[in-house]
Amino acid sequence: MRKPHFIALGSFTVVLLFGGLWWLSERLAPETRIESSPDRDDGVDLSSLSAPRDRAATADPKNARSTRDQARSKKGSMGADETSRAAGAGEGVDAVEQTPLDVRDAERVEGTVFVRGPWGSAPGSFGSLPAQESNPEGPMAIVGAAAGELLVVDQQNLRVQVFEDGRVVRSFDVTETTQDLALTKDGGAVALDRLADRSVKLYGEDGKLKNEIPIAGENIPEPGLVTGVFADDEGVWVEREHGNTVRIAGPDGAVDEQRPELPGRPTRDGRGVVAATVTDRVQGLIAVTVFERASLEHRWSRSIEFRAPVLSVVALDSDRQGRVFLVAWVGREREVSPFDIYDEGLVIVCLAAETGALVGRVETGPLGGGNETLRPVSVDDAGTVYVLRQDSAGAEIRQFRFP
Amino acid sequence: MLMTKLGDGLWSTLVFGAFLFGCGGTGVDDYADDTDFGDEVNGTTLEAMTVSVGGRARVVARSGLNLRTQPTTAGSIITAMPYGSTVDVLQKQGSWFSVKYGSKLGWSYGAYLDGIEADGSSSSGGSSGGGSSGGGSSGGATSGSTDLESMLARARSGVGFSYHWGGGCWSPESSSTGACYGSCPSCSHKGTWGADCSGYVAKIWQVPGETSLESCGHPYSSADFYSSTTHWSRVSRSSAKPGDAFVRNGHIFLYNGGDAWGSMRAYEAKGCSYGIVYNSRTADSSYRVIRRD
Repeated sequence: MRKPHFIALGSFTVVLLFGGLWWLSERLAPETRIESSPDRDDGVDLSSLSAPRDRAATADPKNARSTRDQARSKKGSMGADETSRAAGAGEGVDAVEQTPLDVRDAERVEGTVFVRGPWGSAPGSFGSLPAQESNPEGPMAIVGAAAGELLVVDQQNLRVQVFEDGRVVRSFDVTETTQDLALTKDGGAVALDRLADRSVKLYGEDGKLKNEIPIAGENIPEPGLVTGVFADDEGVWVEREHGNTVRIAGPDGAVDEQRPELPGRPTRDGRGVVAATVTDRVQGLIAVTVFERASLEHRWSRSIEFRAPVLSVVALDSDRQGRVFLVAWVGREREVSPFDIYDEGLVIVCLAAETGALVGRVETGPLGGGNETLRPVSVDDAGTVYVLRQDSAGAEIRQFRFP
Repeated sequence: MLMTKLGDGLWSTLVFGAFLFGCGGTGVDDYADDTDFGDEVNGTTLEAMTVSVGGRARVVARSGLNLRTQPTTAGSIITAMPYGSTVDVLQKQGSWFSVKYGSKLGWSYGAYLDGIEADGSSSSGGSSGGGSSGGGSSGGATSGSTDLESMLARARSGVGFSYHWGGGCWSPESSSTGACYGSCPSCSHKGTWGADCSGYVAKIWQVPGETSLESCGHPYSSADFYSSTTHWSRVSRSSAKPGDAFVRNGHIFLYNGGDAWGSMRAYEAKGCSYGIVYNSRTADSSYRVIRRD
């Protein structure tokens, strides 16, 4: 009576063993093929070769992987002319090769509350402008400074509030149409007012206005398309549509008539320049590139694969070590009217300064609230990530830390 | 005994497999040295998109484009230029262009360069450029047509005019832009011309029908645009194209394409402090996308 049980249990175990090995081989197979195949991607964006991804594939990461594998197989069977057409349709015969860095398994976390304030004008509160046939606004930007220090552009209250360890320690005045801010090495600040005054204002350590630089000019034909302001040892920079940055003032705050460009944002360690672009929205791919600041030599590039379609890049920042932080808003869209977005999230990715290797990744809830923001996520010197969320009651900033 | 061996073997295999899966899944080390470039030209004769020698061009390879020492993939890579980078075009050789990228000189494959017009817009279609401030530009603005160019011309012609709560008119030829004071809807307006967000889009879209820009009407609120589909239809965000509008209860703006991050170029009557502007902006999931029928 014991023998049949023994055989049955043994057989079940063997089935489990081979089943487990089969599952593992299936899981590892795509990566293995990429590494060993002579038909590697060669810089061609696979998304441009694949058929439009159906909803089932979009909803299921495993199906998504299959779709990408099919695209790889399709590419491998192409002749030169087909490859050329595909490349011409979207991507690079001589483009930079990118093997996706997979962050689809980012753990969902909530972070810790750094500060929460109601709508209002008291210290620690935040001003808001409801949507009444106009753009709804709360704080437009947050800016990480020294470890544990965060500046909040509370423009509806005509001020910037400085928080340390969650408490307001000081504030200084800005205009109602200020949308972004950067700190200078001498303890001052530069404030971006791209739409009303169309200028960058330079404030001294005492909070007094030192100079005002017009934004429009060489390399910035349209001030409204500026997407950020930055300050470093070499001066004041504004960013053109999340691409190149243009120096508009030198380190002394004087206007720079030459307006030289960098191929991205300066990193906080002073050694790099970083840029990001959504390379395939539906497949959930974003490319990040870092250059050496001094030589502009290419340091590294990474293509990062998210669990769902990318709705937009939310932040690209760095800490004092030069580690790069990329934040993406991901989510899916229903196929029927009114095409609501669901399964949203913010994925925060931390990459090593020198190699671009993955340091960590987490996912948290979307920004929500409806208010427009220009810089809703920022990083302080120590690498703590701050996320600004707004709702009907007020604004809340949460912290996320990586090792 | 056998069961014990099988059990141990299965446990060991699964533990080892889990270790492998963990490494493969996170891939921290797998990608650490992945910084090489792809290089096959495959004899293609792709032509550059209206790139002019002596002009400027923008990198349109979404993953970046190599800058090389020679007009061939055999040339050494000087650097990689990200999507959206601008270069000065110095000369052409076959399908390759000699370009200046910052302080660097080199050669890049022309199929991934797009010429830039003097006004900063791309030469190969896509979105048109931004509006000018103060009085806007009037080219084509007075036409009642609902084709894309006419709609964008009307949008451009309104940039620089004041925000006017409940308003919806402007004269492209006028330099009197009006002014808004206070906090709307309790704000005050001075001058003849100006619009709020829904009055602005209604005039750009010419809904419910053809109306002069100087005729001060305000047929729909943003709530109307959001909840009804009278002269427009809802479309998905992923299919949004220039000329569509993003709307939520309380605000609406005209979409004019996006940038490398997925941010939007938008024409909008943003608010009392801003007036009517052309800007890069974001919109969360509370916004729907609608298209003029």
